[in-house]
Amino acid sequence: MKYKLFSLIQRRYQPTTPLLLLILLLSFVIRVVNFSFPAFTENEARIASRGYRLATTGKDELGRPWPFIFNSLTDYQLPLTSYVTAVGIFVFGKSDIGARVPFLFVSILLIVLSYKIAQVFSKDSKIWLTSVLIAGFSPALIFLSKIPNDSLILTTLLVLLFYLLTKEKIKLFYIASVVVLCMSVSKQSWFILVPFVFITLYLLQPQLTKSKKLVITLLAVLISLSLFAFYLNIPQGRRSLSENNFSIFTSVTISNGINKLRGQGIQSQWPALAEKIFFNKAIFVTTGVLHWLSTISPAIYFGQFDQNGFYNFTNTGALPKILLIPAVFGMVFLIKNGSRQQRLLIYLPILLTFPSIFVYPSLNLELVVVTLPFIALILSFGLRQLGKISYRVIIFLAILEVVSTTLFTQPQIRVVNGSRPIWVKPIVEDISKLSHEGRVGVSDNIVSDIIPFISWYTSLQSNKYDLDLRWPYRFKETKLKDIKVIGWENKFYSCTKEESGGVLVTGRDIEKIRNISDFVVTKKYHDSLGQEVLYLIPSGVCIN
Amino acid sequence: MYKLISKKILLLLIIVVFGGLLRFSLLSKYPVQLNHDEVSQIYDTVSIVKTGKDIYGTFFPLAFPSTGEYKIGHYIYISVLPYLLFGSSEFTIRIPSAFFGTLMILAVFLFVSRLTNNWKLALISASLVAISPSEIFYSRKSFENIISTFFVFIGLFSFLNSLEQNRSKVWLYCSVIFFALAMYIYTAQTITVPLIVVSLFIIFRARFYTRPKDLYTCFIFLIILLLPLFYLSLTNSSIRFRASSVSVLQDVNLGAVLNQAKSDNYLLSSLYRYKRIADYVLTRYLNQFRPDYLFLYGLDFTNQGPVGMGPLLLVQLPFLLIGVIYLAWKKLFSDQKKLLIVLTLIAVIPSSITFEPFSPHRLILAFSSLNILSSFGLYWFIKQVNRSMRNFTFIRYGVFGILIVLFILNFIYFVHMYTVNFPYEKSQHMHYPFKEIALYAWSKYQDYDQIIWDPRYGQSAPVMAVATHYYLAYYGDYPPEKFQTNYHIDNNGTYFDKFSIRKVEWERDKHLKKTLLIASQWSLPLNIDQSKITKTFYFYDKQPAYYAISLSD
Repeated sequence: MKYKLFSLIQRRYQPTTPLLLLILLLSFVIRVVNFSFPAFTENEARIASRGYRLATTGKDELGRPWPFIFNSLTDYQLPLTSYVTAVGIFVFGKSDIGARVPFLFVSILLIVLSYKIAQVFSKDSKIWLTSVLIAGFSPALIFLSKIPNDSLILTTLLVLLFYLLTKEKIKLFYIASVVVLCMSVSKQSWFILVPFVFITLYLLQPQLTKSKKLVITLLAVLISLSLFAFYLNIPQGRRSLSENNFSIFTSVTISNGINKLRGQGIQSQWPALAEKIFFNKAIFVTTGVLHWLSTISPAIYFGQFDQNGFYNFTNTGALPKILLIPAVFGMVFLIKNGSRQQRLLIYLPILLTFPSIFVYPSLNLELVVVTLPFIALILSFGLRQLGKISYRVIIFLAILEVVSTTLFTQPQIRVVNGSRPIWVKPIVEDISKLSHEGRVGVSDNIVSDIIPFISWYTSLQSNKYDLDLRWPYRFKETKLKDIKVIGWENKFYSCTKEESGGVLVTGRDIEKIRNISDFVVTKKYHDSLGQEVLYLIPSGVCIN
Repeated sequence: MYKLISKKILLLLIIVVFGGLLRFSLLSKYPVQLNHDEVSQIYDTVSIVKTGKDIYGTFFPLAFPSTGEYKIGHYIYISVLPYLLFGSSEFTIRIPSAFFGTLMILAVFLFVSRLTNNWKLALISASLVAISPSEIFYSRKSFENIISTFFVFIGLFSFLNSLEQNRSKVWLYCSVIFFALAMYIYTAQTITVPLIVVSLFIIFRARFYTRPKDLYTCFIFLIILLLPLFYLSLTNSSIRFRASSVSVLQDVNLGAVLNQAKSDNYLLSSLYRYKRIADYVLTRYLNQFRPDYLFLYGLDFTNQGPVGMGPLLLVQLPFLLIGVIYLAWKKLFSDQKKLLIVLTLIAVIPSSITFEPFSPHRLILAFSSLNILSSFGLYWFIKQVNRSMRNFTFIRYGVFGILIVLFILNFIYFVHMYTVNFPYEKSQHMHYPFKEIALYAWSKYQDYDQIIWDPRYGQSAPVMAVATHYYLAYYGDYPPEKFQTNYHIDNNGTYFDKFSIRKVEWERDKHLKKTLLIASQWSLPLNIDQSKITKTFYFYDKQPAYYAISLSD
């Protein structure tokens, strides 16, 4: 047994192995440092608390056993991310570690796979290692390895699929499995997978027979079409696609713009035909295409990736800024001297982000994340064009930026005060305590959705489901046991002697309460910017 | 040979004349009215010619306080000659831009021709510059950016000329003079030109190994030429104020981020602050290359989101991409290739360090460079079509025909945007009914003891107009020497002659006698007696902008 293991290690051992392991170790360390940063958004808290419920009861937060489609405030959510989180919580318990660790592992797997795919494009071991280093130290990938999210899983599965498709021995079962898994992470994969599989096979598998290529491509088409068909047949499926994946067609800005400018032309005596030629539905196409090209612009990769702090640290690009230099060199090298296969690296990011055409005006950052392992390879080619000193200086500066960003998180906590409310934790703990004594109301404008935070940070879990929601689309919970979320429409009154009621209200509601009774605010809560956000009135105020 | 040269010159002449027509035709009609910058410039020009002072009485100022933003005065001084030739018409103030905008076509031709030794490529570049929306737009309004960009290209041409064998040193000194002029004329070039000069010497350093003396003397010559500029920048508070008021540090978003990032630890806080500013500037820099800005709405002609006009024609997009790939691919003229790329990269810097996310007026040099880059793509495309379809004449001409139609359609789209949609959508930004109001106020001058004009107006929200007194003075042909003595400001407004430019407080002002009130809906009550309204002034889109109210009893 010992001998077998030794020979396996010996066979697998390459001169680059120690360096690879070192990079993996460093990547692991940079991810684990400040592991509790970033705080969860309401959606991540929902996935985490759902993971806990799935791991412990087999039901989601709405009481549905092992569902395929989940709820979120913006769209239907596909299942894989929730189940991956459930596994983490099942193993590590209901804690931040339980919710974050699965993604940490997925991210390490992604780095290893980056090493594997680098071997497809180059025989130069320095390129393999550089590519791994860049993937390991990409701020966006570090950030996403600490929160429950679809993007990281989708990226890892796509890279895995790429690896499987480019292997000498094609294993259809594995490929089919990965395709199915990809498609159960995010709807984006339904758009990109077929062209991705097709191009990879036709450019990187010249020795594979045409019939085999056709079978694999058809398999991807079939799975993709089945999911589309299924999705279109569920209630709100079409709405979900139109609101989240084809938002350009529902954009009133564009259609109003077309009509308004056309009207101005007609008023100015321009021929109606000219107006039709200049202002028509083709503007949707040009807007979409330019929006797509803007999504993959250098400003997104190396400038600011996500100013809201959902996908990345707020002040960095998806990659360290200094890597802009090798990006230029890499592109020039690939255009000028790259082989046909290597040039695929230029097309892949363009291909993988094409659904951005349809999601104007939002930036489709999830798809930009998917391109990162391939962009890392372009950068590696660029770095190889530079001299030894330039190479080392650039790598040093890149790592310095990433380390400083990862270590000094305090300013970022303030910047993402609204989207990642770390300050909500003591609030929900008090809500939970208060709910043991009687009914509690909490203003709904404190965060976008407070219930997932309560479910995740406290032991309160709903076990009674008033609504039988089979396909919950953008459903916002307003009740959890004795906690009621106070909306704009709710009214306050002085509790009678039989009633007991406490409220935690924002400035909006405290003005309303002021009119109906004398009350005592016993505690004020502050956000990360030090602003008063919530007031605790432990008794005397009830809600109708 | 003679035939070739004459063909080349003829084609160039056609392009320049065509470009000139696009810049000069209907110059006083489009843009539809002088905006606040233009009206202040023309009146300041009149004031300088007649009195040697600006309207505030400063003798030959370098920076004109104008409407409070301290404009660098070169455009005003350049406009003196057209004023002397054509008088004080609206057309006059736009002549320098249109003139240098036309010359820029020639400058770009000369530059590209010298850079590549390929006159066909140079002609394509000149053509693209001739029909480029951004270049036409800025050539038709009084703005010094186009003039300084012209000098940059002429400077580059002179420099490249000086590199040729057996060339006289004069070219080198000419390039220094042109570069210095560009810096004097437009503030943004004080950032780009030094970087361009340094890049030139780095890129072409090998050519100077044999004549280092030239290099040193040129450098000293440039320093001597720029000494007054350095001195003024350091000592003139108006110029310093202007620079600081447009810097990126004035950006509200950056300010918010820096405020949020404050920490008790001073060192950490300072480090983070500088890093954040650097991050912000770099992001802004990279954002200048966003395709949606460049091809969809960067010129800010409309308020309709992406349905607008970019600084470049949309049809240029594929050729720009091909041009960049072509440059990366080809080993040809490698130093020249570097120069073109460096020029584009440097030209974007001024826009990225100012408070606006995207300031196209600071990017003219970049747009011209991008036009040149796309001409490389177009040139390569034409070459490929010619080569691959040599035997298919009909298809070849079909492809060229489609290409020409696309360019024509795209250009007409720009004309539509510029002449129709731009005035409709940006009526308020160009102070649209102000000319009409000023003329009306003067026509009623004799009938009233005082005329009050409230600068608060707006299409969807109230904004304060900034050059009302200039409109009144210019369209009333008011003598500048009289204006300088009459004009005064207090906390409530500005005044000269019978005119008061101040907020209208209806409850108080309705009791005034023999007064003409000119105010917008934002200052007047809804239930105002309609019989008192003697005239309504409309924005370009026929929405009411101002009302003239007669308080005569």
